[in-house]
Amino acid sequence: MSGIIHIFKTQGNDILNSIGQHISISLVSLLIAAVIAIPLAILLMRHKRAAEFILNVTSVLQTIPSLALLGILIPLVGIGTVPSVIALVVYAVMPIFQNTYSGLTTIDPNLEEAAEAFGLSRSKKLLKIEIPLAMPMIISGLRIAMVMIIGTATLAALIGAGGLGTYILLGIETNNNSLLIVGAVLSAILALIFSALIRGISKLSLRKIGIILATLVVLVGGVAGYRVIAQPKTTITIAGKMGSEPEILINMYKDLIEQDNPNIKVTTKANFGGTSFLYKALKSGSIDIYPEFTGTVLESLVKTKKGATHDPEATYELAKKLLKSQEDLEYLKPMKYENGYAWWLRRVSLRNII
Amino acid sequence: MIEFKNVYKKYENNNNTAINDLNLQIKDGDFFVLVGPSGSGKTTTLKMINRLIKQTSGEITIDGKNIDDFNLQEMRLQMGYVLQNIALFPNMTIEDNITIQPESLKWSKEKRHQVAWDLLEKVGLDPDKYAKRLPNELSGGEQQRVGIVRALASNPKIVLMDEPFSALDPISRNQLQELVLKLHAEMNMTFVFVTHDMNEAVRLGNTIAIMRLGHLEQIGTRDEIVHNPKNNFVNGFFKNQQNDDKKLKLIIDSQDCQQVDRQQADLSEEDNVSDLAGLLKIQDFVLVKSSDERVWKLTTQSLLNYLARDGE
Repeated sequence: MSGIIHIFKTQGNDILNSIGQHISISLVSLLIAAVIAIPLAILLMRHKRAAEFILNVTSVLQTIPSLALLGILIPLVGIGTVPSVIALVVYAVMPIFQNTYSGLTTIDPNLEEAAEAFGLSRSKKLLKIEIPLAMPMIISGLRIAMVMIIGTATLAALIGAGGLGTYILLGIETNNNSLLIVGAVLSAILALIFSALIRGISKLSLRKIGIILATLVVLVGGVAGYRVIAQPKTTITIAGKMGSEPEILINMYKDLIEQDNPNIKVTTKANFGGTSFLYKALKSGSIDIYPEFTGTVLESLVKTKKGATHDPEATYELAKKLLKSQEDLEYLKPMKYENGYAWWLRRVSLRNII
Repeated sequence: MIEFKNVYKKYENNNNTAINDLNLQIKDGDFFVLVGPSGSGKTTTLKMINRLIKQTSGEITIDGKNIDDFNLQEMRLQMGYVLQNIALFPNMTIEDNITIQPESLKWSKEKRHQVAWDLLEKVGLDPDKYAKRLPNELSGGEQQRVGIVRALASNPKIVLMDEPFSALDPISRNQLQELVLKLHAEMNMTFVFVTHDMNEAVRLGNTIAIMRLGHLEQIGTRDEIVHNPKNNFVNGFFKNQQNDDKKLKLIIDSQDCQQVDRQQADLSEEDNVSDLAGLLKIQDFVLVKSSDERVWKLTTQSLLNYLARDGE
C-alpha cells in the first residue's frame, strides 16, 4: 500500500498523462466505432440477410486475440496510436452494431403500423420513433463497447501508444506489483466511470445527445489538429524500453541534444514498449533514437551466426557493422555508462554449487 | 365517397380468399360500421382503404380517384387511424403524439398547440394536466381518448378505426362510444369503424355492413339491419349477441333498484348484464343511466334477483 502511495506522490503527473492518453484513445475508438456501427445498423435494419452477414463478420473479428491483431497491424500501419485505435474499433463495432440492430428490429409492430398509417416519412419515422425507442439498446451497446475498449486499451502500451497499460507492463517487467495494481485499478475505475457517464447521457433527449457528440468530435479533432500544427519543424523522438534506466538515459540524451542545438525539439517516449516494437518503430521512422544493448543487437535484431563475445569492443564493432549493412541503421558509440549484472545467491545454494 | 369495386384479397400462404368480390360504397360524413366474426375480413377491408394491405384485384376509389394514384404519404396524412391496441408512441408526450400528423403536414407550432389543446378539451382531458404527460402515465381509457384525438388532429376527411374499444373495460368502452358519437356529430368527417360486437355496431353505425368469410352478408342502415335481417346468418349473429348480452334495461324496468340523484353514470341501460357483473366485482354498486336520463343504483342484490327471475 505504501508503495502505491509512493507511486502516486512521485509520478502523479505521469499517471495523469497516462489517464489522459487512455481516455483519448478509448473515446476516439468508441466514436469511430459508433459512427461505423450505428448508421450501418440503420441501413441494414430492413435487410435481414445482409445484417446477419455483417454480424457474422464482426463476430469473427471479435475472436481474433488482441495481441495477434496488434501484431498484424504493425507491418501495415506501424506502431503507436493508429494501430491501437484500429484494433479497438474492430472490437467495438460488434456490440454496438448488434445492439443497435436488435433495438431497431424489435420495436412493437403496432407502433410501426401506426407510424406507417399516419403517413410519416422514412426519416421522420426513424428520428421520431425508431431511434428513440431503440435508444436504450444502443446505449447498452455503447456501454459494453466502452468497457471492452478501456480494458483492451491497456495493451496499446505494448506498441507505444501509452495509456495506463504502461504501468501494467512496467510492473510486470520490473516485478513491481504496486505499479501493476495502479495501472489495473485505474483502468477498471475508468471503465466504471465511463459506463456510468454513458448511462447518464442516455437519459437526455436525442438532440442533447447530438450536441454532446458533436462537441466531443470537435474537441478530439481540435486537439489532434492542434498537435499536428503545433509540432515544430525539427523534432527528434527518442524512445526507451520499459523500466527506469532507459528513461533516465533518454532524458540525458534529450538534455544534451537540446543544449547542443536549441532549435531542435526533442520528444521522449519513455516505456515505449518491448525490444521488437522499438526496433520496428526505429526502422519505420516512428522514432529516431533508442538505446540498445550491443548483445541484444547481435542476439535478436540482426542476422548473424556468431553470437556476442566477451570482448565489449569487438561485440560493438560487429553489431555496428551488421546494423549498417543489413538495415542501414547507425549504431552510435557506446556510452560511458555500462549495464552489468550481479548475482545474488543464498549461502546454501552457493555451497551446493561449489 | 369511398368505393370498393370487385375487390379480392388472397394471401399467399392461405388457400382461402380473405376478401371475395367486395362491392360497397361509403358516403361522405357517414358513420360506417363493418361488423362480423373473426376471420370475416372486416379489418382487411379497413386496412385496404389506407393501403396498409394491398388488394389482389379490383379497384378502390376515394372521390372517384383510384387510391393507387394518390401519393401514399400524402393520402395517409389526410386520414385518421385508431388502432385496437392504441399504440401511442411511448417515447413522446401526449401533445407530441397528437400532433404527429400536423407536424408532418408542417403546421406552425402555434396551430399544432391549439389543435392539441382544443381536442383534448373536447374529449374531456384537461390539456394543462395531460398534454405534457407520457402515455404510460394514463389509464387505458384515457390512452384511447388520446388515440382518437391523434386520429382527428390533422382534420382528416376520413377516420379509420380498427376495433378501438375491444380491449377496454365496460365503463371506458361505454364512455368512448358516447364520445365518438358526439365527435362524429360535431365534426364533418367520415368514420369507418370495425367491430366484432353487434351491439356496438347498432349503437354507433348509421350504415352497417355485416361480413362473413370475406363476403358482404348485408349492408344497410341501422333500422334495415335491425328490422329486416336479410338471412339467417345476420339474424343469428344479431340474436346470438342479443341473447348473450342481456340488457340492463331489464333490471331497471323490473324496478329492482333505486333511483339516485346523480348526473354521471358508469353504464347505460343499453349495456349488458355481463358488464354489470364485471363492475360489481370491483365496486359495491353501479350507476346506470336509463334512456330518460335518470340514474339508477344497481347492487349485487339487484343482479341476483334478476338472475333468479330469469331462471323461472
